[in-house]
Amino acid sequence: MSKFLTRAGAAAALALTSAPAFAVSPATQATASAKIFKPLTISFVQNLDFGTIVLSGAGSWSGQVVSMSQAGAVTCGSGNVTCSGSPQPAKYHLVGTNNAVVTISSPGFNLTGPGTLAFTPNAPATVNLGATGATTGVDFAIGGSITLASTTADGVYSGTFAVTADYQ
Amino acid sequence: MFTRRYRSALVAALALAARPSLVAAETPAQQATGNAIVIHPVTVTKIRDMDFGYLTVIGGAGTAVLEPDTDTFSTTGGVSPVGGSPQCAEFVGAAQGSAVVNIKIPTQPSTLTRVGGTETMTVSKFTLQGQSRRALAKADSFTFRVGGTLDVAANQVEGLYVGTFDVTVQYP
Repeated sequence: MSKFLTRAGAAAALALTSAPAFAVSPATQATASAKIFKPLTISFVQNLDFGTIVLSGAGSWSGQVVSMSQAGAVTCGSGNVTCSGSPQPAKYHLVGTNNAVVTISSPGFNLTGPGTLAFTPNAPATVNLGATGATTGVDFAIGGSITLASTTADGVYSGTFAVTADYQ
Repeated sequence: MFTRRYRSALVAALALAARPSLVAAETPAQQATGNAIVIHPVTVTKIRDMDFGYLTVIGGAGTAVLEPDTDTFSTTGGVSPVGGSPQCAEFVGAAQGSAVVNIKIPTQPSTLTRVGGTETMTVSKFTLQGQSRRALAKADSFTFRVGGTLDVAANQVEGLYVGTFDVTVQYP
């Protein structure tokens, strides 16, 4: 009984001492990394407003695009429409991790009223939250475009954005 | 060493899973709206209705007044506001060529009738924001608000009262 035990102990010692002979290291060790993000918040700042668009062209016409840049500048068709009022782009506010890049999604939707106008948003693809992204955050603006015709019905048109934001 | 590599991969996967981006995209509590007013020249279109909001009458008759120049609301007598969003009516028009247009609002009271009943109230003393005559450039649009005074009796039956009134814009 004691002989068996001794033999077993010797075998174990052999295995331990033989292990270093087979240890190798890769040329490059793997690294473990993790980046912790502050939860991203997005909030409403202001609505988009094209102002008043007068369908001033004579006769029958169509395909007149009224577009607004993200800066709020309106390009008003090519002669058949006249834009006035106080146009402004939609605005949202982002707060999150400093210098993180945020992806913006803003799918198209309809402005409805006496008729329907398809609205194509012009949103930034990404927004960098900058050095104060965690404290003051940043605003971003969304413009967009609609297409008008001489048959577009008079009235007030309105629709709701479906904006989402996500860390890139 | 294989074991270590696998452990590294697991840590990376955890880090990715911890990124908020892969949890859910953030949606604002309130979305923005997109708005446009479209109008043909030589027409007039309503932008919004006149609304006196929610009122209560305690201790006698009174009035509710919408003032169009400042788009403000006030009450007199036993009438008190208890909510809603009081607002003047607002309209938009546009000229074809440069022109002077003339805006006309009611000079006679308009009747509001209780929905589901026969009781009435009247809106009188209609008032216009700004001048009734407007000088406009070609394809120029103009907006104007209209206010008025709602007379509420001491024993006015509760309910929703609705009526209509007309405005006219004279184009040359």
